[in-house]
Amino acid sequence: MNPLIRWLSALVGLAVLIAGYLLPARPAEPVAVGSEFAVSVEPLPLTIACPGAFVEVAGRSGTEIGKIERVGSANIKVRSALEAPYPNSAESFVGLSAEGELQSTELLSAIQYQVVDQPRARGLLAGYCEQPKTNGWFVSGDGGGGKESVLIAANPNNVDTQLLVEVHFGGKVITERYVIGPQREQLISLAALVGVEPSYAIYFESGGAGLVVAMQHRYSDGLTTLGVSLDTAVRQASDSLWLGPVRILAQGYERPRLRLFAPLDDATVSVTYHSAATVISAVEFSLASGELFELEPELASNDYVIEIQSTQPVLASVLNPSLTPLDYQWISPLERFSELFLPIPAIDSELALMNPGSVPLDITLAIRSASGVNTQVVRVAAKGIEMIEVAGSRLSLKADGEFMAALQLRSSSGYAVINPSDNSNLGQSLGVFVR
Amino acid sequence: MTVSVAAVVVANTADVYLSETLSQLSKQLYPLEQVVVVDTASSNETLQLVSQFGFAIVQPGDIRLGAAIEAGLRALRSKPQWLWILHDDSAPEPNALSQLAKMAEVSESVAIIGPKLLRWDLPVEIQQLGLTVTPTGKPFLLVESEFDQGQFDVRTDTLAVSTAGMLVGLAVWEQLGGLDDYSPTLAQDIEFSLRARAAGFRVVVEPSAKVLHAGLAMSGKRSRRWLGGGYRTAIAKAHLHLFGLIAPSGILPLVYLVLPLLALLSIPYGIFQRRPSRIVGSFSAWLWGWATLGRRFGARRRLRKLGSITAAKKLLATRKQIRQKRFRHWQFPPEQARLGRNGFFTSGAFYLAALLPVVSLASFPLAALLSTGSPIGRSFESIWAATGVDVVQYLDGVAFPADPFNWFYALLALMPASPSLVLNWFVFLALSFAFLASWLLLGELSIRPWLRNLASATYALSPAVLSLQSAAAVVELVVVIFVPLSLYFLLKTKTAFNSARALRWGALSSLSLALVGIANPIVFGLLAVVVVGLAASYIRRVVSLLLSLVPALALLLPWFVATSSKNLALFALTSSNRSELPDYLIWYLASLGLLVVLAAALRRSALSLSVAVFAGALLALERALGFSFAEVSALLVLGSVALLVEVMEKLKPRQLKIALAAALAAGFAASAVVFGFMANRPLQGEDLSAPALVVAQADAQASTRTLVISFDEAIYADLIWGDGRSADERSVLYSALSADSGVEQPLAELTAQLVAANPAAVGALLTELGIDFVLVVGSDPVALATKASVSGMEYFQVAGESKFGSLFRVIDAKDEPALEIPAAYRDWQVAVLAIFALLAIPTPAAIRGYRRRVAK
Repeated sequence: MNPLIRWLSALVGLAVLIAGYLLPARPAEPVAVGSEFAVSVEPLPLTIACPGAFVEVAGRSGTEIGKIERVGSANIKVRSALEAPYPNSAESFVGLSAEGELQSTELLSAIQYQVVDQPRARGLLAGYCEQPKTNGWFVSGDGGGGKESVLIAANPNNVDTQLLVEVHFGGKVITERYVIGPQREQLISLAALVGVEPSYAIYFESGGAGLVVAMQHRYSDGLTTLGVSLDTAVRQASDSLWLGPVRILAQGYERPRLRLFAPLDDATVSVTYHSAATVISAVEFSLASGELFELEPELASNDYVIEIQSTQPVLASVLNPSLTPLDYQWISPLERFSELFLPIPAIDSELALMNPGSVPLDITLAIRSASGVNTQVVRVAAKGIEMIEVAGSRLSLKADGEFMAALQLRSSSGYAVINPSDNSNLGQSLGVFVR
Repeated sequence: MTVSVAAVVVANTADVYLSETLSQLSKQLYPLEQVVVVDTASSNETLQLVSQFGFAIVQPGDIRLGAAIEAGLRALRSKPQWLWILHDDSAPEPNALSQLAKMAEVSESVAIIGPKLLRWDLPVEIQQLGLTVTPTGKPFLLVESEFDQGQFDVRTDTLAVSTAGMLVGLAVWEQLGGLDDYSPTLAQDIEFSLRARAAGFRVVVEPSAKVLHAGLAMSGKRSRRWLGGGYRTAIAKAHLHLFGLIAPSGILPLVYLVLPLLALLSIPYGIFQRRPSRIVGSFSAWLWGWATLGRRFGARRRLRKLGSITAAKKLLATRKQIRQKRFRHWQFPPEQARLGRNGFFTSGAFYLAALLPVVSLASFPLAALLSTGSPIGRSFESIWAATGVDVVQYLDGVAFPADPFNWFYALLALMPASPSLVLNWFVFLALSFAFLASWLLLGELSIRPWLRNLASATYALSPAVLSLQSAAAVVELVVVIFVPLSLYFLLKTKTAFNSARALRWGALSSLSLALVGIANPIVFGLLAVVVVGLAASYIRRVVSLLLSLVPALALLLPWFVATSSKNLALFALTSSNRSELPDYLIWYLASLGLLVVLAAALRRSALSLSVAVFAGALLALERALGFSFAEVSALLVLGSVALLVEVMEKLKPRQLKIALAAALAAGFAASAVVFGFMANRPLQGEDLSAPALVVAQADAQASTRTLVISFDEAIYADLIWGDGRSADERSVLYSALSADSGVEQPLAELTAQLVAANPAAVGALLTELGIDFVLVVGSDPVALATKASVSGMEYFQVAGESKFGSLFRVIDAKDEPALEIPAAYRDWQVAVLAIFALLAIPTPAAIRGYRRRVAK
């Protein structure tokens, strides 16, 4: 064959190959995900439950081994759109309900608080009354000398259910199951499960209907009581968390302790401390899956909101000590709202408003008291925090963007933070893809 | 010498055969009173040729054999005692007539004497030594395709002899009225002999009289008009006619009545025999028989008037003779082309192929693969219900054709084991299959065993093929295996030495191409271009080659119709179970480009250009349609190894070849380790696509329906039929286009009610939709809340947790009949596949290369 033809055919072959490869590709065909339907379902009556009064392990005397019982009663403050009779206090857990199609904290919102003054436990125990959850996490498990944690699990439903409790620590998992009857509660001393393990995370899951689960902590040093705390559950790990308000209340005595846990995969975590005045640069570190990790940031006296960004979903909680009054509070991640309604406790309270956005946000605050409704607009700087003293019966918050809010209670009896969550049942315009 | 003989030569064409026939006639040792050539073509060439030999010629025009002989007789100056009939392609040896005449002299009762007919092109082989018929009247050669060693040289009575070289007493000829031109051509001589027998005369063969016979009409070198159609049609007509002559009168009408049925039965038989022309013959004979019924019965009446044929029936072919002939067809000599080649075992290829699965031994198939394309349906019935149907099993049935690739799953399901396990075995053995397919193909490029083995192993162990195998990419593996196999079959079709073999190779090509077509229509389209190219380059195999496209077209036609009206690009996507793998296309392309240049430089331009154009077109089409098929890389490797073989064949320095071979071996060994041994493979498990309870109920009640609720930034509701949505029950068209259905709204409402824990309308919706189970998938808070909500409703009974999710059984579920799924095209598609499967089965004709040896 003529060499010219040979080389020509080689060139043509190469050209065809290259042309085929370089031809611009047509965009891939979109994949249909099914037909979307917006379905409006009449939501169930909104039910929330307050965990109830302080739980004392070993009885009121503290010497009855194996005994675990309620001590005193918790004050209940309810804010509801309905004129319904709600209890003012509760010894055991208490379920609250309200019917309505538009469900939010406007329909029903409640808090509980209790001044605990026992020989081995003293402080302010306060928390938000939440909707029952089918699963959730706590990372605030504390054990060892002077630390005692109790899991309060209440079943506000009319059918029994099985509660699965997993204790995670040091890469290990301990699993326990409890059957909780309808309208009954289970008080679980975690020391019996965990022994002297200093820190642990708890995962719980209901085999049936949702439960109200809270974790109560008591701290002491010998016979000296150091404080109490009531912690609410976080539904699931997230790669973006905000915790607050963290007010430095034991400067020079004890630092806040931030605890993180990566339940699924190893994560790279960045922690930033924001206050109204300063931003402390981010700390970045790796977090091994299944291991609890703690940080004790050295922060100047101020109010802070802590931002956590992670490459994998993580859980976090911060233990904030108070020297005067002597108390502790575990502060869990905050939820975002554009509208929030809260009752105000009859105790010195401050409202913490935090803005996770990158632009300042105006939040309209309305406080109802005996003298009427006092409305003001609070501007919160980007990623900033504002503390406002509140007094009255209830408050409402509205903004055009997303904000986070919490109540900080501080009196001579103790210190506590109430972290609200949204209250609603699914139902209004549910989007369903039918495939 | 007491008998006078005149010869009548019936000629049609003035060619070398006539020239030789006349030449041999002029050399006869026995004196011929006259020779008359009857030229039915009335050509000047024949006139000139005959005049060279000094023979008389008549040109009566285009008439049939009997009339032509009569025309010759009329041209004779005087009437001889005997008439010697010759065809223009029957050249007698010089002493042929003297031997025939000798026989005529010694036996007065003999009226017809036939010579030994030998092959024109191979005179040592007997073409014919007397004729008879089978008990059903089919013409039968007593001796055929036997070397002439004198073993048959016994003068014997026979039922009939051919008119080629027939010596017949003129008085008998006239008494019997000569040949009946209304009879089928291939029956004329036998009928004439039968009439002689009935009239009390003998018909014998004189083996010492030898006539070379070309059999031009039989081998298709004469006009089909002479036979009255194709060869098979002529045989079928002769068969029917002769049956009418010899059959008992009682059953004759019955046989004529069932002729349509016999014609229908000839369809599968003809296909199996790789003789589709037999089908045409049977139908033609039936129609011809009915149309000329009067003449058939007239011929019988005339025969019976001459006397009884009872004695003649003793000369019919015996069962033993028929059996022996059939057995001989299975004996065949090795093809010349295969001589000197090492086979699959002697070349060591078998052992290499057997070793290849070691690469994936870690995932030895013990259960179903749990991958993108597996498990498939649990039984043939389940898979068949999703194959070739017009409705896919979504919502209450969506009018989309099922994915064409399901035909492959149905094929696997024919094996006597769990279809998913068979699928797993297919994946496990895929490397061996790929090796074997490429080994066969590369055998068309090189006969060197080491080179074929090396190149085939390079293909099977290339990262592209190994990646597909380790990912259990079934659709892509089908392309990887059946593209080289199709090319091999197509080349064999083209080079087959007879039409029967070509048809068989064509049928194998067609089945292989059908699998390629249902896996990747783009690749099939390019192979179709190759088929057309091959057919154009070798027109004699055009039918076999073009037929090889039929099954794939039959399987893809409904798919084309559906996609062309919606989105034609989707035509290329025939399976929902394609895999997405890392794309190293540029590296394979670079290797191919290098080999294209090398092969062209080493004078292999045609192949190198063909491979480049095929690959370039494939890439261009893939991009134009917006797809990225994982098997394209493997096909580039196939093109590369084909060129590599060509390059290695051309390379001269031995050291360079050794170095290249060593580098290749090291390369595929490394590839085997990295992409084979170290690859992550899918897990294995039960072949379930739904919780066991759902499967058990679906087995008992086909109408079982399960609502699957899942959550992924939104709420999803799927209505699953029967025992779950296995890989074969997914739909490309539904996934891409979705569809409207009356059950969507109630499904959405039911799902929303369950998620919102509101039982208000749940009971009514469950009844309306006929749902038997609800499966809630996931463990996120909404999923857990939904599980809690469903478990708390009075309509459900908790049925347990499984890897699929939390299952709830509907209490007092409404029992509904299973939906009928239409399949308008499937029967036709199965018929086409069955025809080609029959054609692919080896038969004597396909193995031995049956050639027609019937002389006329």
